[in-house]
Amino acid sequence: MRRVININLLPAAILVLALFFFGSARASAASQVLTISPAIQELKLVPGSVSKGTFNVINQGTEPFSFKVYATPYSVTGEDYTPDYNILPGAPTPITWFKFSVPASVVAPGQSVTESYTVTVPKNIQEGGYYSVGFAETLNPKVQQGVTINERVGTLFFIQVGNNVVKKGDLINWKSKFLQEPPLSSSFKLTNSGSIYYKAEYQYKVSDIFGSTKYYTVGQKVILPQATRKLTIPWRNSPSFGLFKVSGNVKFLDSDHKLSTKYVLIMSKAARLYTFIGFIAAVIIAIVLAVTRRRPGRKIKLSRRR
Amino acid sequence: MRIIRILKLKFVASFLLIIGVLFGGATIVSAATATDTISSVISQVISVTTGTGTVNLPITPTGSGVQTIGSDTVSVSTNDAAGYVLTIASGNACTTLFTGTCTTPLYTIPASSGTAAVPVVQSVNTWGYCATGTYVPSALSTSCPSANATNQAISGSNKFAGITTSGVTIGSNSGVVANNSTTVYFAVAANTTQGAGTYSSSVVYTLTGN
Repeated sequence: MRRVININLLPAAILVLALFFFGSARASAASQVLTISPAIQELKLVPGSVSKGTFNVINQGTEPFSFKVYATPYSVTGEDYTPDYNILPGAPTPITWFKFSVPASVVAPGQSVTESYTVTVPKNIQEGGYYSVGFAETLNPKVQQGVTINERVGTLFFIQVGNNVVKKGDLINWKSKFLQEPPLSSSFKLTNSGSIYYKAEYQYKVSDIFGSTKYYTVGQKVILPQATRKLTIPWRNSPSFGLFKVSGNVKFLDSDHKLSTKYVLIMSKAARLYTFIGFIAAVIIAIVLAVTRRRPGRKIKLSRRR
Repeated sequence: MRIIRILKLKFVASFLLIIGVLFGGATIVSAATATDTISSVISQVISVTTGTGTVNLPITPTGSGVQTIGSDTVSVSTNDAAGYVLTIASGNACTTLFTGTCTTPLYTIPASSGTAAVPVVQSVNTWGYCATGTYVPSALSTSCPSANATNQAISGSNKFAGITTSGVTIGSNSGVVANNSTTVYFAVAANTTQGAGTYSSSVVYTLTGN
């Protein structure tokens, strides 16, 4: 009888589950997904030249959205490389070089718009590096009450104008503190003293003291001219306690720089507390043992006096 | 005797033939094989996923002030080895919530005096934001709420930063990420001295390669 009831309930259960899953899928799919491809474009041009290219604005969501396309300057501030898309007074900006084929459009779900652009480099421009972002920004209708959210995604343009450029950079330092709280992290700084950007590729490895790899990552970063970039690499899932070796290498401007092996002891606050308590306990035990070893001697002396 | 010799010769000939066919065949097969180079260029993509494009912050003020908190989730995906950087900024020239227009508002609610580096407990008649997520700077996420609320007493433990016209990093990472989500909480606090009205503003998330 129980089996019959269970079988009878099975289709209903499946239906409920199906509704639940489809329902949740619909709910999550109601979000807006703006994708741009590629994320970076590198152009090598000469003064007075005209270059054409494309990038794609893709709607991976379920609702159509309107967007506009425009160019902004691209610069960075600080060693942590906070991006700045605003026009800086006195700084050269190539945003007026850009013309877009579709400055504003609507993209349907699952569809993409191929945005053609033309870059016209002025004839009398100084040779060197110029940096810009081609943004696609959603145009969500403004709400009467609350906060209207828009998002923009950009293709970074790294433009080299002419061949008379200086490529020069250095690895300034490589740091990994011996005693750390989790997550384990290491950092290195790269500087660009040239007149054009360069790309750096790095590999970073964390291994235990026996050499077994526990964490490995690779990355690629751009260093803009006359800037220093600090790259911090965290091992986010590092344990709360352990002794590890960190090492790696950085490759840039046709040279390979080894990040020498450093030892790191990870101790969380709790691990430090337990270690401290253990140390205190060991000291107390040592004192107690020392005292108890001396006592028999004293007893003998006393008995002799008697 | 002759028959034996003939049989031997036949055996040797057959053996050689088999060897020849075997290796010759193999040779023929290898000679007929063309080497195809298969290459595939996987384009770099970078994408941002957001909610409905609106965060409503309805509030019914009291004399001492109450707080309403709303949120929006931003997810980032990229296959770019450089990773991503996600910033937040005001979507217009104002940093206030305002009635009317940004340039000629009737009433305003100024942005919180806190910054992303040092967010603060919300004062009455201000609005602010904070964010939580794996790659959110810890200063901004540590005292951020974990749930929305309407007309609650102003929390002394939740801290918010004021929106700015220049971008503030709310998430960054190196390497490939898939659907890495950041929850951005917006809060408004008001007491009965704040003029009634329909307040609004806009913010923009900016996502580029890192």
